[in-house]
Amino acid sequence: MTLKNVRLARAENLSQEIRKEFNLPSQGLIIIESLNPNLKQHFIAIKEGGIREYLKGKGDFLEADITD
Amino acid sequence: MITIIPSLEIMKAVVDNNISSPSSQLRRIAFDTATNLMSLGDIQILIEGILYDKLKHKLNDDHKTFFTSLYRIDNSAKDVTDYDITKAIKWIANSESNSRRVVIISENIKDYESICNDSIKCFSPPQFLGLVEKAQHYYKVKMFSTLEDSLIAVFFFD
Repeated sequence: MTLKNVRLARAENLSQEIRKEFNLPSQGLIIIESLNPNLKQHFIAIKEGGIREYLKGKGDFLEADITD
Repeated sequence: MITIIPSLEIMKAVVDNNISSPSSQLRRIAFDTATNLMSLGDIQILIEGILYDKLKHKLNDDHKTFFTSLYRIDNSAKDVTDYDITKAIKWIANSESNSRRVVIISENIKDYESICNDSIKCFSPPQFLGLVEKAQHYYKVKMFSTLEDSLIAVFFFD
């Protein structure tokens, strides 16, 4: 499924149903993914590896040099 | 209202495949911390457009969706003759500071000294992390009613 949009949320502001369904912690940063073609929502807790690990879960970074 | 602008080396640490030094780890934590702050108040991350164009070469489509959904990509200084990323960040920080307070995170804080004032500050990753921790503590002990006020106090008036 293709990632169409991403939002940030706090686990503490989400309903218990959502926390249970997506196995989320009671506190912390959550990424809400909107996925096509079914317009599904996925809730993902950001863990110790942070944003980098989340992104790597979407595929390796491409090989390219970044210079100023 | 705070806008956080990460510099090139901060973003490189987030998307490079083989960076594992302790200082890179701090840069990544600084970026994660800034993203976390976005969920706690009126705090935005702005990625300068020339920088994002370079970053894009490392990203697949899902990565790009992530960056363009969550962060403000500012192309104001793109295509301006003789502007590199540092000059572009300085120009955007000045412009942005007319409406919001601005924090630049960079290892090379001297590059931005000339534009720092009451509304623009530049911190290294360890400085930024220390100040955020301080602000969180002040908010926790109720010195400030919101985390954002606490952040403004430690970033701009400490």
